[in-house]
Amino acid sequence: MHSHINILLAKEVTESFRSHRFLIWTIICGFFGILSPLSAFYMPNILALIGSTQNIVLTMTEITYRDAVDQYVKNFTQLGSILMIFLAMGSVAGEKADGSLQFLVVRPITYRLILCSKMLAMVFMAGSGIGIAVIFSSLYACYLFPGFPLIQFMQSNLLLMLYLVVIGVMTISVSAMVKKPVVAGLCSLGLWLLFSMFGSLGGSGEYSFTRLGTEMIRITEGFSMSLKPFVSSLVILIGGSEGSLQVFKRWEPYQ
Amino acid sequence: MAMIEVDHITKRYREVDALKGISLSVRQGTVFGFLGPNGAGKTTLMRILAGLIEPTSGNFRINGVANEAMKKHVGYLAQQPSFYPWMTGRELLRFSGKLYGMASTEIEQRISELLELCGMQHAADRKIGGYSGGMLQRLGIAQAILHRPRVTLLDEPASALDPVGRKDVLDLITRLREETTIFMSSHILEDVQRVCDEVAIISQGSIILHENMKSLLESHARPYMSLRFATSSGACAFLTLLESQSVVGVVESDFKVAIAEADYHKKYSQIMRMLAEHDLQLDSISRQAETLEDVFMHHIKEERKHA
Repeated sequence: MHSHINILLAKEVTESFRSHRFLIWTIICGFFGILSPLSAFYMPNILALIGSTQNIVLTMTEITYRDAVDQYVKNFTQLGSILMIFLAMGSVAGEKADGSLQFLVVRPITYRLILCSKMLAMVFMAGSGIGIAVIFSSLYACYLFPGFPLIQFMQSNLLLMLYLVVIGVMTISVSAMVKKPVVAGLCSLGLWLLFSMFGSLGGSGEYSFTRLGTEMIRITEGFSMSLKPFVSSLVILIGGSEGSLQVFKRWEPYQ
Repeated sequence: MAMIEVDHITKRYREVDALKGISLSVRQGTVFGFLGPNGAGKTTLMRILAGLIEPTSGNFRINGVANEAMKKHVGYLAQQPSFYPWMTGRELLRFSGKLYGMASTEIEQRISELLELCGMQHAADRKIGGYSGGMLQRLGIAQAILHRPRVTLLDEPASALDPVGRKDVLDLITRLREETTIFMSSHILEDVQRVCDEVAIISQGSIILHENMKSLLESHARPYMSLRFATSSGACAFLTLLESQSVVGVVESDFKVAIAEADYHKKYSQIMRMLAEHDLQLDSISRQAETLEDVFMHHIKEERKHA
């Protein structure tokens, strides 16, 4: 079993390289990493430029590293989430649709291993992207914003990583339950929007995993974090993958 | 020793009974032909034996093993093989070998052997996405037998191949009988007749015939006389004359009329007289034996009549 997971993981990682999914993800993560501190730093200049053409004066409070971190979190929790869904939606449903999943199912490996390898490959891809984003954003933020809390920022990125992994696992789980990648994508997008709306509520909304972004900002600023968003994260990671496994086991190819 | 044992397997898809209590046994070293019209249940049974789908009821054993562990002993070629388009043929075989727990050196040795056997050396390092249907079929056969399975399930193994490829595959199947039991389905009955030792015909989810090929042809395939005329009008006229003499004749083609051998001998003098009196010019008379195709058609027609 141990060797099987390595073989399957190697296949999944190679596929993400050859299908350019890995490249697309890391480039965009790198872009977010560079763009976030730069856009925050130059925002007053950009707004002043726009204001001068409209004959209005825009005044802003002093720009700090907090604006850069805010921008960074927004980029990942909005566009980054959509991109993650887009890249993961075909992981199982795509193989069902093109028939290549049959190749794996007739071999002496379990459905659990197939699903695990896909999720681990997604974790590897998400981690690589975040790693690149952290490097770029730290370099720029340290240069542009003296006093940038580098260590806290790096630690807080673990929450961002968890956020993206939850979205990835949720998408792969849905992908294992449906027959077409588009359906998997739309369902995952719907779930993400539901969790986001739930997260915007006070009280019970604090348990939504979409609050991990807010917690990330709190950690960067030196505050202690709330464990509430971890609840729904764990529910999705464990419940979602186990539930989808039960449906996936009953999958049969088209007649 | 029975290598495949199927015991009352049923498969139901919503309102449709795809398999209605199939039972059969295939001995070790047999090349077993599984025949039937479209939608009869051939692919469903092969998918069950490959572990791809679960039967609704009943059970089966491969090499005496009934659970998931039987997958180690099975090699499977799907009707429409589909592999990872981003892999090369060699990579796919290597990946497959690793999943079956083969050692690296054994994998490489077996890959070279199979690429040569399946005529795929030239395309081994090309992406599968660029393969033709025939190349996919050849690769499919290679991946099915890579790990030297005890049972090889081939669903329409020659359907996408040209005549040369078809012959190669049939030769390969003949050679493979030494090391594996082959369970194959095919629409090309000529191929089945050529390579199979045993045959079963499935219709509407039930097996309607299961016999040894030799005894099947001896008992069911009746010999007949084929009379070839110089013109098609001659063949038509002869057929009308036969009907007037209460002899059953069957049109084989525009120029050919077939008569059961027994009828031909019984009414030989009448037939010869008819030909002479009506000046019907014959090109040839030959004795033919019914083929597996004739037996198949006969059984399927009978089954449909009863249904």
